Amino acid sequence: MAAGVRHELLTRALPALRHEMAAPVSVIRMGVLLLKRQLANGADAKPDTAALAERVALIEDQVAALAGGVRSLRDWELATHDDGITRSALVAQCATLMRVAFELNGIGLRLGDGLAPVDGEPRFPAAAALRYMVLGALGHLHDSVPNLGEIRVEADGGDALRFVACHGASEPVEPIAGAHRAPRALAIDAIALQALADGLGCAVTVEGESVRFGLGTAMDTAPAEPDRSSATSRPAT
Amino acid sequence: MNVLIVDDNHAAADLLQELLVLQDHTACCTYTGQQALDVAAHQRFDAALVDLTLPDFPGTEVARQLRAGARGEPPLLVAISGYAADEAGDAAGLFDHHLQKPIDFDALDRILARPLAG
Repeated sequence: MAAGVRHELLTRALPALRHEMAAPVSVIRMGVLLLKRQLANGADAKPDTAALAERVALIEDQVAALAGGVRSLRDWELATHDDGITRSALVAQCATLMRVAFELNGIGLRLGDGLAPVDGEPRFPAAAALRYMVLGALGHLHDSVPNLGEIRVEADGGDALRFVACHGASEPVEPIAGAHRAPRALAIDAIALQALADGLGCAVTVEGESVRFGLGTAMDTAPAEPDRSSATSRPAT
Repeated sequence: MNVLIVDDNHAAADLLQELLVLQDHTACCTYTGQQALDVAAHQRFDAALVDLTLPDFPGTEVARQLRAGARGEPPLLVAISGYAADEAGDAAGLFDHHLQKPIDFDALDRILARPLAG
């Protein structure tokens, strides 16, 4: 069941992940098209090398952004060693992924002051597992709280997160947004959330309309590697 | 055509503007919903290309206000988004067309050519 829950959560995040990669592809495509049309329109004219260099630099930047997006897909692979993640980065990443889908349904996502990045912030292991747990907590409140107006994400002590549902008028901005809110084969009810947490070795507590889990308890599910010194480097692409 | 572009991705908006100008359109770039509405309050556009996820408010709201505030014929409204049409939240049919990023520019050419042909 835990694998099914993770699949469901990834499916919900997928539109935002795809959006992050579509943007640089779009710029690359238009940049190349523009070069082609400029060449076709002014084949006999002297090329503006400065403008061409600027255009190529823009395309290079977007290729780098796209490569970063492709690499970031590994963030969702459990069986990969990672460098861990800070609490603030974890929350920021997951909030970015889900914010549009929530806002289309009139549901706010508010991050507490204690989640701002700070120097020397500790990193917690098993970042992929933690990402699924954050999406699971958000998904659970999203699916189970009627008249949800806002979800507040708060730091709880030094090594935990608390997600609190606040009531409000969560009318979809557009009627079809309801479909976006729930393109789901599986609702993240308390049982599904617990199954997810069990599968990831996380201690989760559901209390009414709030969810709490500790960041230091998730299991690193990556296979043991003989040489840890090279485990954190990613292949260049 | 006189085209209004609304996209918070400056590079994308600026390139789109250049491409449209190469196609003999005129185009104006705006990077937020409010900027777009401010510009549209003083200038008539034949078409508006609107990104659905803007920093200040949803592209659907921009479309609604462009349609409501139009003096005479409303502009042709084209949604541009990294999200597919069914994910992007336009059930009310505010937009005449939906183009998913990366934009198929041939499709955009056809969309913009149609009103003139008609």
